[in-house]
Amino acid sequence: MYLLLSGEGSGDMGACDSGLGVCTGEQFKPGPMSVIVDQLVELSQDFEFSYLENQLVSFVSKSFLAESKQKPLKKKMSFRGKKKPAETKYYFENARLLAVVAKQKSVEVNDTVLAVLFRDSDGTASAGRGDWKNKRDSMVKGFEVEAYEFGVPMVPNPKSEAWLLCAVKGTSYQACHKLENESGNDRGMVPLKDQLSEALCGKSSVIDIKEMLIDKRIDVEKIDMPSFNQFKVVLGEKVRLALRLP
Amino acid sequence: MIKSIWIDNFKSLVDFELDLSEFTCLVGLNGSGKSTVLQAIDFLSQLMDGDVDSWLGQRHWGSADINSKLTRKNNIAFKVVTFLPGLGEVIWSGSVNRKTLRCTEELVSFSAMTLLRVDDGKCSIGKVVDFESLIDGAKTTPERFPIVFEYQGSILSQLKDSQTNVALHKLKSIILEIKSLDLLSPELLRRKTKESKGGLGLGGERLSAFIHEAGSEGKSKLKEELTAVYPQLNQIETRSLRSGWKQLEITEEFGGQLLKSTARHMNDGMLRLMAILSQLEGDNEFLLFDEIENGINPELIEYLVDRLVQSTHQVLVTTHSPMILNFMEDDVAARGVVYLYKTSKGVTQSIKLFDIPSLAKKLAFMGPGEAFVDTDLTCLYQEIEALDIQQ
Repeated sequence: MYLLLSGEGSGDMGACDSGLGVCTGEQFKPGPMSVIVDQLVELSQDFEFSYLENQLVSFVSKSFLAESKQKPLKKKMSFRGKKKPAETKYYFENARLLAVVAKQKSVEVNDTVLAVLFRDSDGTASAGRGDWKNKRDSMVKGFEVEAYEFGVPMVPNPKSEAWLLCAVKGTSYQACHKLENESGNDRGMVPLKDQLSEALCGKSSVIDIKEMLIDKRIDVEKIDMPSFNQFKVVLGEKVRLALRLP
Repeated sequence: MIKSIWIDNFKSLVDFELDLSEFTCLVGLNGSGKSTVLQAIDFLSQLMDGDVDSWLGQRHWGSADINSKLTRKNNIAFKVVTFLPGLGEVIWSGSVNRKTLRCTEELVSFSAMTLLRVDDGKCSIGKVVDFESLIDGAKTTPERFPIVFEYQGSILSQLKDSQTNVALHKLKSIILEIKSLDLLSPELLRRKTKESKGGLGLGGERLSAFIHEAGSEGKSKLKEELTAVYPQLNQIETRSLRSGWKQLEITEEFGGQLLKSTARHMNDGMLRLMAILSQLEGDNEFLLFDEIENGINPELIEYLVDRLVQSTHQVLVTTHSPMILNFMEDDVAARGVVYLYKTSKGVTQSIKLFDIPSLAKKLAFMGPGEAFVDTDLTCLYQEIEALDIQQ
């Protein structure tokens, strides 16, 4: 199995060196979300093997996916409607494009490629618009449209800081579902970013958080909130499907 | 071309500014002010024509209907930035008294030079021989004279070309060449008319005479255009009836059989397309169409959008149709699609749709129409407001 990751930026899934759109191996600088993916994959496959350490991971940036945007299918343009709620198409299209890249990668590496697509559900610009579940489900549909069965949506509600806060807030790992009601707007009253920084006494850099994940001060097994659980369950299913485990 | 307009105290337009491209498309929720913008631009054109009373009459409005209920100001202020070929940016600004419907203040300037000034019941006009001397910065020597006659609109509507100057003359013709078809209706398009008076009329009621006056060459060109989307169309004809009424007729060919129909029995879409195409082929520099997609079936949308975008005239349309937007190239949409919205105070504001960060992000992954239709417009104001605060 091989991992293909895509995220928003260096603070979540990571980024390529020197601004590359696609990278593998040492050129990929993984972020905290990549570490979470790697750890959960390891837990799901029931044997010790890190894809990050063994450099069996490729990364594609958001802008690389945007550049491979297809011309709109004119007559077949997809409309919002009962089956397609508002503010979901961005997630759908990102999943479609990643699925295409994943299928190409699979031929290239001659192995099953598991693609994990990370996107915040509630960013600063579009704060409060659309529904988390609809956004996440539209990623699943995007993978399905491309007939790609190894796609995993990684969509925190509202953003990755909520998952991390669950572990590091005063009452660690308790009542984390409440964090899903916070706004994803970084310019809001008490942004999650600031809450995370405060909980970590300012030590909330990408390196700090990665270290905490690696030495289990942030324990992914204990994070319990709906958006995280849903991601974890689907990731586990797809890992077992890819590795043909029961 | 017209580069931008600013208008203050016209219906929901209070301190409202709109940047215009060669092709501009206004979108927004119902009641956001799209039609009002078309009316305001038409109003500005009418100021240059002078007969503002008739304009109000055509729309069944009184002078009390044009000002905004959202401000206590009496006058309607405006500023139009134009680009005159061979010269450059010429700005016409002024203030219209709602009761007399006259521009009690007016200023036309090029660079730092004043070409026309109206205030305190007096007028001064800079003497300019040609564009070259203006560009060279030759001093204009204004002649100031008292205004001793009654008029409506701009003083330029009353002055002969020989009384003004070359730049004012060009400015006047550019403003007069704005044609708004914001009330185009199939019922009116079907009417017989005697003469076009140089246009289709506000609702398209002069279409039959307009096509008649275009002559056989004009009719044949229009037919060529329309056969691209109506291959069965064989001929467009007009007939002069008793008392000079002009009747529009088409002949269609189905399986070798020719069928003739008068405008009364033509389909809405073909009539509207005929009206739009006849205008695109006409002399008016700036064309305004409200709800451009009305009556046009989806198969023809691409053709229509291509014709509008490629037109040699400046075009402004309004639409609710994501299909119209989806048939624009990304760069055309990024430049030309303007989102109108109302603030919490009820005034209309404009922003380029794809200057809104979340929309720009979507445009990278989907067509302009798909990005538009995917967006929850009822909440979009919050993002725009946050942008304003940031700025």
